[in-house]
Amino acid sequence: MATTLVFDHRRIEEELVRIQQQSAPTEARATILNLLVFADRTSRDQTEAALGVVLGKRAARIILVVNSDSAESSIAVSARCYLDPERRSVCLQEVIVENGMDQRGAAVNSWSPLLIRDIPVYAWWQLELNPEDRLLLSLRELADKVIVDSEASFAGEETLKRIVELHDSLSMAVSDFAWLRLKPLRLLTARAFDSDALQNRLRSLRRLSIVGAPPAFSRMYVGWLASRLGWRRESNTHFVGPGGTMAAEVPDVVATRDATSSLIVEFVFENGDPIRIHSSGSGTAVVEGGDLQADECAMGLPPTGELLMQNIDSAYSEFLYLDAVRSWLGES
Amino acid sequence: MAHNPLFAGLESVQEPPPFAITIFGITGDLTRKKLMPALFSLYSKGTSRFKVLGFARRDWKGEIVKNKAQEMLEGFPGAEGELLSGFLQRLDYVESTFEGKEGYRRLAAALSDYPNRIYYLSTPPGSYESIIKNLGPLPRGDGYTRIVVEKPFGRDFATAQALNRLLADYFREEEIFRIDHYLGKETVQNILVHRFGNGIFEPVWNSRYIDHVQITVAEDIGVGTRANYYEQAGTLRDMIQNHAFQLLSLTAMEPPHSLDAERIRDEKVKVLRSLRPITFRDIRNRTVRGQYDGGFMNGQEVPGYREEEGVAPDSRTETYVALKLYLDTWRWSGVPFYLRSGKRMMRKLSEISVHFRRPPLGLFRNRHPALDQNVLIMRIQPEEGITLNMNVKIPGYTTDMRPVNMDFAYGSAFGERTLEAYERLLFDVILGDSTLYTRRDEVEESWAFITRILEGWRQDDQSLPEYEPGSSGPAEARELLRREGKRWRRL
Repeated sequence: MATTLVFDHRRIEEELVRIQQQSAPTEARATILNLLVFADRTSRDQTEAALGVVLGKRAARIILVVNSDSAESSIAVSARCYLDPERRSVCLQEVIVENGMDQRGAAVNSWSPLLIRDIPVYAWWQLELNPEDRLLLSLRELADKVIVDSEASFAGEETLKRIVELHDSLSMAVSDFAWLRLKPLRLLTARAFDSDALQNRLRSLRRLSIVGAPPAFSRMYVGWLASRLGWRRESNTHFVGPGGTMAAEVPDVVATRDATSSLIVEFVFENGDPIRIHSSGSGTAVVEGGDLQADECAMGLPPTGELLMQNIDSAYSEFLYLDAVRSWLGES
Repeated sequence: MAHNPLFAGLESVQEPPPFAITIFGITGDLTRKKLMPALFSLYSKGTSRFKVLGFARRDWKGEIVKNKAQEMLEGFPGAEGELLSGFLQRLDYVESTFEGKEGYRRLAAALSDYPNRIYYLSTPPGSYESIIKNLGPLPRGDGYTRIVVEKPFGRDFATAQALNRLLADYFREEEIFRIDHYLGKETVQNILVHRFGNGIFEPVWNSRYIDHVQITVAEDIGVGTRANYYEQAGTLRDMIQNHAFQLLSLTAMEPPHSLDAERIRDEKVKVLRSLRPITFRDIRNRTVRGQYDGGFMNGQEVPGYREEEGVAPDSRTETYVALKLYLDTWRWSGVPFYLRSGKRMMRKLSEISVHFRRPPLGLFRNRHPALDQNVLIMRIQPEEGITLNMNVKIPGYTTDMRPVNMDFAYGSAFGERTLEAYERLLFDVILGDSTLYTRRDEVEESWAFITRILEGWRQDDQSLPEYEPGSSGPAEARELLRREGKRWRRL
């Protein structure tokens, strides 16, 4: 049940307590994190679905700032609780700020006093990544980590550059859903090349092409390989490594957000048969070719809620992710 | 091969190499309640390259074992549809007695495609010898061979040592995994994190600041249908020798210099070696045993222990034990460790409480002995967490004080079901990580200490005191602390 209020922080706190008490059938667990979400109307449904995954697993205070077309900004509160296996209530307190044309909702001091002190603050940024955006800059002081989805907001190389800038220049810890989606492919690749002979073979890689995968995903994959294997970007399309030069071909357009059904990664070596990783069409990816033993692993597209869950227990950037992005950009 | 840089950051999701696990006694309760759900859970989380073989006397061949497994997983989260059928396809069965050599030949044939093999002994201890002697000569795969042995691991020092010797005839120590499922509990593992992952506790974790430690492993149930086993075991063997001693070791050990399994186990063994023996002369001063009486619990009438089915009317098997222990080390010299465990107690509860010394000077009025001590409580189950009990000022004109609890929120907001102990332990066997398993010397040291007490009790003809069901144990246990000016924590 949501209650609409004016921007009165004390009243908002009282109302949150009252609503949570009504919603919680048993003693509620302590809140352990704040989650700030910056979204627009088009992503509201997806956001709600993702928060539904968090419900019952982490007791949290959510402050959702949504851009709207209304003349005036407004604020509403609600609470949802879920009984955990020990019959304790795990609650999400929600403060929903509709930022109207008056921009009052986007003003930091409209909602920042509602952040609970002494517990982590994660900021899920779903808007355009502009490092000069005042609201984004304010998170330097307010948030422990910024969570983005470079795939959803992909606008070419610039997107990845802005992510690095957020971390390096603005000293913000950053997590990226696109990086997490890459994990099954990284695992399959690591397993495929898990022998001295095949590791050596990678030194003679001459072409790596990726089709049927989203652009940020593809670039991070190449960047990851480069950072792990010591390749350096020489031009837009070529990397130089210990064994020579490798040409990387990646898609530019967002043909698909889903790499599960159409992915093909081809490793072409100086000598010998190529090795391919491709979707099997049934939720897995298969690696075969050359003289390696065929292998497969699950290659599903995890729901956004699951990706969010993976991000809200730690307040640091994963260095492998940043290394991969920098390697792609040629900044390592 | 040399280190594969592509695996960096993926260690936690790395799938283990293919393996086959043979469960001896698959038709029993442990498989139904713990092992099958744990294996399914591992499968559902991505461990897929394995085969499960049952080895038992009943006719569960072919589809029967799959149907039985499906029954075992009834109601288990996710056990349906393609996921369940994918798991069931991995099951197979060898019908055989544990003595039958032909059965082991068929087992060897069934395992031939699996270089990595795990043998899980989920049988009564009486069957261990046959199984081990038949497994030993079986041809091995090209990978690893591991054997998992459930508790009880022996029933005294001699039998534990004999079992260790028998295992050592056929398996190397690193291939032997002795289970104590308490070590699989998240909260037990958290003792190490609590002590060595925080800088504030270790400086005061010694005799200068700690007055005494209490360790409680209490159950609210009676022996139920386990009287046959329990009459031969008793609480000292069933709970103290293993679970309570694990909690003692983790609480009292020195910091290891790494998280390597052997370094941690080295430190735990040192604790057991430093236990001051309880001789026959000390039996009545430092040990208490009792039996639960008949009465009422939760509104129901319950029988006394000697009235339970399968228990001899003149049984001297204890259902309650309290011990006063000392560790002769620099860190713990003079600090008593009080351990207690029992059945039909007020509630099911396991915890470690560390009672700190009183302030050297009593500055405040209304100073009451019970108010002075700070207590750090590590709750193992239920209500997992850590509480620090401290004194604060009562609002008002005076400086009177009262105790309050500060709860450290370990897991207090996690609404997820924590990892089942057996799931964690099985995964560790698969990975070959023995940190959460008991080493040979650890088992023998604990049995050496316990066996002395058993011998002392055998020679002591004092009758066993009874205690009311739903209470905190016999009055003699309260006296054990009262004469030192201390009290047990209320259950």
